[in-house]
Amino acid sequence: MRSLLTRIGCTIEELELSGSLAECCGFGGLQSTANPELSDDIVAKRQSRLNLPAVAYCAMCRDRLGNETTHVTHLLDFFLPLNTPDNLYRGTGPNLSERRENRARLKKELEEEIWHTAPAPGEPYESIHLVMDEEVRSLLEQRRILDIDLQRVIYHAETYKRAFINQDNGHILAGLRPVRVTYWVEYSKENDGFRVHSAYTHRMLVTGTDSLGDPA
Amino acid sequence: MSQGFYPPESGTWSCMACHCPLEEKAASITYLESSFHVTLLTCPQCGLVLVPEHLSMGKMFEVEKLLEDK
Repeated sequence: MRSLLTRIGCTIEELELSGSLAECCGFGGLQSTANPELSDDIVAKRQSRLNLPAVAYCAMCRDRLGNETTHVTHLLDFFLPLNTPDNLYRGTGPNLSERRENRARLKKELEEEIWHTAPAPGEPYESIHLVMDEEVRSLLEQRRILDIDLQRVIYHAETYKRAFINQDNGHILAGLRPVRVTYWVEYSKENDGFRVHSAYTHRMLVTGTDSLGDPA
Repeated sequence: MSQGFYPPESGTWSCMACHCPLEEKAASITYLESSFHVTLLTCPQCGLVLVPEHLSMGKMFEVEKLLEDK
């Protein structure tokens, strides 16, 4: 990594903790999922020691450590043909749903451009347009709930009328268990989409709740 | 998990399909070979059960973790 960067003219300054003492973001061990508080502490400490723009060779370190104030670039971005040192990506990493969408987009592009196979047809629930504020987005991140999970629930509720309505504010509450986890969404209709007010999950199986393809 | 009644913390909820108010009804909860009975708001016509957020993210989450660690 140091050799590659030197070859393209970068001047490298080593971090205080480097080599075998390097602090890792812990995402490779799923630390941010297993122990989010500890992971946040470690990331904040690592960021506080970065006084210059940083380079990471791990995609997870890049996304966990990089944000609008701590600039972290992935090593490959220096060498991929579409990037130059002037437009390196160094901002905040994708959220949980954007990360999944990136993988789906990559698969679709590979199918079309490299493997020349027909991509799988889209699911009808993908047309559900979601709207939410930053507070709800943050709650979804914390609870590890994807947009696609919410789209499935809302599509099921709207198609089969399997939901509850709060007479006080018009909010709709619906639940669905696609496989092993039941997702609940509180939402309301807004223009051509659905505003998400909250979402939560449980793994326990509750009688009288819907499973996918199983409207009672 | 206690066999108590767990309504949502706020709101007057009714069934979207049946348009009727919900009633308290016993519901069965199962997970990893354990089963519990609680009372939840349920549509008296179609039987759809409402699991509120505070129960899901509170007691149910705690019991899930306990059973998984057993």
